[in-house]
Amino acid sequence: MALWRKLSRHRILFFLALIGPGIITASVDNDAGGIATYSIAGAHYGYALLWTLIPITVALIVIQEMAARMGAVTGKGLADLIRENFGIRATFYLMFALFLTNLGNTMAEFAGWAAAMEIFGVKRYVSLPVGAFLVWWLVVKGTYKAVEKIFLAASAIYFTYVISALLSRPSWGNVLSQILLPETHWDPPYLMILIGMVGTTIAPWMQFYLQSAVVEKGIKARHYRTSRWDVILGCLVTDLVALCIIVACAGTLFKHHIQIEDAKDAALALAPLAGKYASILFALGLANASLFAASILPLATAYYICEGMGWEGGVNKSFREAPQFFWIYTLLIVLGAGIIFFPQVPLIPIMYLSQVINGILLPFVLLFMLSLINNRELMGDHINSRGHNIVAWSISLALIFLTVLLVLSTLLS
Amino acid sequence: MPASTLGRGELFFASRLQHTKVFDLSGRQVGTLQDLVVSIQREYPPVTSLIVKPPHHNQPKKIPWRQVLSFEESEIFLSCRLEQIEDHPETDQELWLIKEVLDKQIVDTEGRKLIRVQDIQLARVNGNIRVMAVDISTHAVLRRLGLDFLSRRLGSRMMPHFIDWSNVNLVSSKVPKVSLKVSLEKLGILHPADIADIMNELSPDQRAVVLQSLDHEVAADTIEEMAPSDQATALAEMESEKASDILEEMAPDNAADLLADLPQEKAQELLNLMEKEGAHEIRQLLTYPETSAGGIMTTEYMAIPATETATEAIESIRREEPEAESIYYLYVVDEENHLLGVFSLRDLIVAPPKAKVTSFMISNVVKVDVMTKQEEVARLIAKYNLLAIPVVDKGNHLLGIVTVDDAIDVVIPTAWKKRFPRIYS
Repeated sequence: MALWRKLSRHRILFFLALIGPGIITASVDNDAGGIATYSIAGAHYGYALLWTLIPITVALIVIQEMAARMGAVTGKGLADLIRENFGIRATFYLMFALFLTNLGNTMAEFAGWAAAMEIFGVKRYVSLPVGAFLVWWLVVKGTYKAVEKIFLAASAIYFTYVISALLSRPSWGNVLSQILLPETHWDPPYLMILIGMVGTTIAPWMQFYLQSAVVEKGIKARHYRTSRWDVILGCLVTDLVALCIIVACAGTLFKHHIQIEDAKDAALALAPLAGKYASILFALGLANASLFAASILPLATAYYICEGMGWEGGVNKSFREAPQFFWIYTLLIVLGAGIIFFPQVPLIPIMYLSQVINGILLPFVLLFMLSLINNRELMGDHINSRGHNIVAWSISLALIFLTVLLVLSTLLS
Repeated sequence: MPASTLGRGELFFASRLQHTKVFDLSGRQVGTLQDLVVSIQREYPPVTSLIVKPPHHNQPKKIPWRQVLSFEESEIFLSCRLEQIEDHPETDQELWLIKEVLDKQIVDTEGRKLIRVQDIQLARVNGNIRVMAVDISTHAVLRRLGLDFLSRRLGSRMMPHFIDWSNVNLVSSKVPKVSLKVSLEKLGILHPADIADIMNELSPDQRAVVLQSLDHEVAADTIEEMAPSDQATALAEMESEKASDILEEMAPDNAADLLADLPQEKAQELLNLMEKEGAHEIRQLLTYPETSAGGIMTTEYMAIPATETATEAIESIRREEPEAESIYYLYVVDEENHLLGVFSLRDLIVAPPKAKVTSFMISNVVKVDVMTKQEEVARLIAKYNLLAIPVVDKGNHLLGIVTVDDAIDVVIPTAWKKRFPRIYS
């Protein structure tokens, strides 16, 4: 009864008022690139990579929690803090890299959107302009409250993957035993996918996004304990969806030894094995995830760059007032959607390059975050405890090690 | 004297002075320049000391300006040996330009917005180095990155853009309290709506700092202009004494709305600190549901006893000095505050001086019960083209009025019009 009293109606309402940033960030995390990586992981290695989701979830929670805490305590975005504490040079190179990698990510999102719509028989010449327009319209015409509600509703569509996983009729006993006692391979392709999974789940731009969203929501240090649950819940949901994607592909494609290259292949291959609905649900999830991420990425990127560089930003400003903001935003959407328009453009090398820059960027973002969160002048009593620091540093070093491996292997292949 | 009119060759940029080599009397390099300390009290603050960083991780040293022999962008000479200089404690009046101003956000009181300091311009004036302006242009960004050639390519759009120091307001909570207070005095001259716009972009502690510095009346107006969701938090972050003073300056209905958003203990504490009369009115208002006439009404209205004449009524108005929004309609009440009638300011002025107010008032008053739904109140105001509508209880006692602007807020919530969040705005 005591627990129930703790969760009184008032508390639940209070929690509902604070959720959003964590869940939305986590959902955008499972974007087109993420779905492709998890699909390939499931199709090529069955359940053998499932165990990695546990350390990935822990790492994600530890890092996202720091970003959210910084937002709540300082009331400032990450780009702002980096500029004020590390100066213009560091900020400039960081923002430049963020632009390049998010341009790559935006392309991946539009490619995912076009591919998913092709499964439904819509040509990319139609789906791309419509998608780009939807993204633009949502941002220019929407207010945060409305947009946030749409995004929260869109997060629910990710549960199509849960159904996809169920439709593939997996043996849950096998799934569980593979999570707890995995059969690891440790050959180079296995390692590549493992690193890819880490890279796609823990991306630099998410930390910027989450921190700004927490600031935006007006979450203060004293509400932070409640807000933390939003972050943890979001991370758990992200990896639950990832698990479902892997299970859906493992139970079908892996069993029949079907090799796939991307998420569209996975959706198409599911039809004869798990039925038409599994395939449609998979494609629907992909379309939703791609468009969702495509509407957040360009805007968020333009916003952080302007915040860090000290340029005016915001869609309620005119082009004359905020030229840099509109140029960055427009370039990201036009290039992101435009390049996918031409099928002859080699998408795979572009994706690889974007992944490499992502990998180079992540260590720096993590190091900046660790330095900022331990700055007593900024964080007061909310700095990391010693134990927290040990965990955060080990995770960061492990991530840095893995991303260096990823960058090297991408460059060498 | 605007900085841009000064001659060339006399100007410095703070970013360029960073890491300038510092030599002592013997010609030995003793370190590099780390920061410039200025005295905030003066209009264009002069440099009062230099912070010099000796090599090999030694503690930086503060060097008073009188010990500086020569000051150039390329090199700085001291008139003594480094070891001879004693430690000077930090004072409240000083500001470290590079640590506390460069790369930070400031308020430009002329442009009325928050901007980032890309560089700081200084000038040599009568042997002193003074802060003249901050550069907020992309040109300054490129210069600091060593990419000047790009800005020449891009032409005039990339020219320096200076904000004169006299229009600069520091808002960082890390700046010493006293210097911040001096700087914030300039903010007070802005319209509260402009201050509120700037506040929306500040972090919570910055908001608290700014609100503390404004005088009570301006602070109250500023809070009323802020997004409703930020009003309560802004007040909650402040010292209770100051917060209650600000509440007293606010219209009772707005103050009540605000208190309703605070945690109960905090609201009680603030009410207890307020003057008895104001607190009583607000407590009364807090008992009505938020969406009823009682929830949106104000208790600031002008009541005229039924026994008065036109001349006496005008005298009463003079004595009471009612707020602008409540002066147009005057309500006639008996000794027990029963609402008997209403007349407009116009009716009063054109009435014969000796006429009793009861002789020219309208006794068939359009009024609402205190529990009437707010939408119905707005509808009645629109239907009868009223500037305000009286609110009465079951026994026809006059409790307050709902003015037309509060009724509009029911139909078009202010929050929608004002607040665009940062990410999506």
